[in-house]
Amino acid sequence: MVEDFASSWEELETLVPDVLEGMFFADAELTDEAFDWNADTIRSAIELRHPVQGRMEVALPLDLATELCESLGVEDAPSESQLRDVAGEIVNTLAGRLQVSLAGDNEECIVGLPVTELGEPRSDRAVSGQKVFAVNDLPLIVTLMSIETSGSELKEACSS
Amino acid sequence: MTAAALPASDITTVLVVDDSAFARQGAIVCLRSAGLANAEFVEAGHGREALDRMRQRSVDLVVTDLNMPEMGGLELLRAIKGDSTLRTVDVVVVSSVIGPAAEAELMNEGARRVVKKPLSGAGALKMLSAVIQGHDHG
Repeated sequence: MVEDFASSWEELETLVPDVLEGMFFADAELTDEAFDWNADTIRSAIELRHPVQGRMEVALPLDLATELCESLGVEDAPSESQLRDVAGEIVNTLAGRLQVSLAGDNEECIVGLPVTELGEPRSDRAVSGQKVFAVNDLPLIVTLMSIETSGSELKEACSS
Repeated sequence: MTAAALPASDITTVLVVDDSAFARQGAIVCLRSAGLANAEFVEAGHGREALDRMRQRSVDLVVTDLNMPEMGGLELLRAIKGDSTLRTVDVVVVSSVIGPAAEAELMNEGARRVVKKPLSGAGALKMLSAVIQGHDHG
């Protein structure tokens, strides 16, 4: 079981650009830039159950979600369902690849199913860390939350 | 690589299973570019829906995600391989949550190939080559 997020962040700094490139042919780069976060946002969260335990959330402005949809061939304005799908698939792929990268050869890798909402990133909660990646000059925020801040249901799922 | 670079194939109908519509479309685009430009593609959002599709019409290849609601990819694979009318259909698993232990389990359960998500054109080509070579060798 991975009990802290230091190694997770180290992996994610490579995984996020790799996944964005593989899924959308988009460049993603870790950034310290302060973005003006007034845009409408979509966020998708997924439980990390083993070996990393906690919750991962990806938040991105709707403009970025729209651009990523369009890169996959959506010609008309993407529907809300399509935008949710893209956000969910990003967090699902990142979470799975993260678990695999940190697991031992005989370890199970377990993630939940993504839950996607419209709304700002969950920055008001006690979080273990948050990093921003610039994708097409727009922000994609990745947040990792520990079990303690993720609720009793996740604690129970991880201990079963 | 063009369709002409692949050996002869009898894959005419492919069932793509994933709860993400984008993931399904991405897989279809990769598979078309890897040599299945003329194949018919059928889609399902989870394993139970996939089994319904397979009972309505014959498919030559199933490409499935693992982590899905209702019925996941492993359960789908077991259902296909445990059904006398479906067990000869090749199943390829495409997922981001596949470590060495999971890959071994999937191959033991009868998967033809296990591929890491996101699927790329090159990954689709390797996957199809393995499936087609399996057909050629009986």
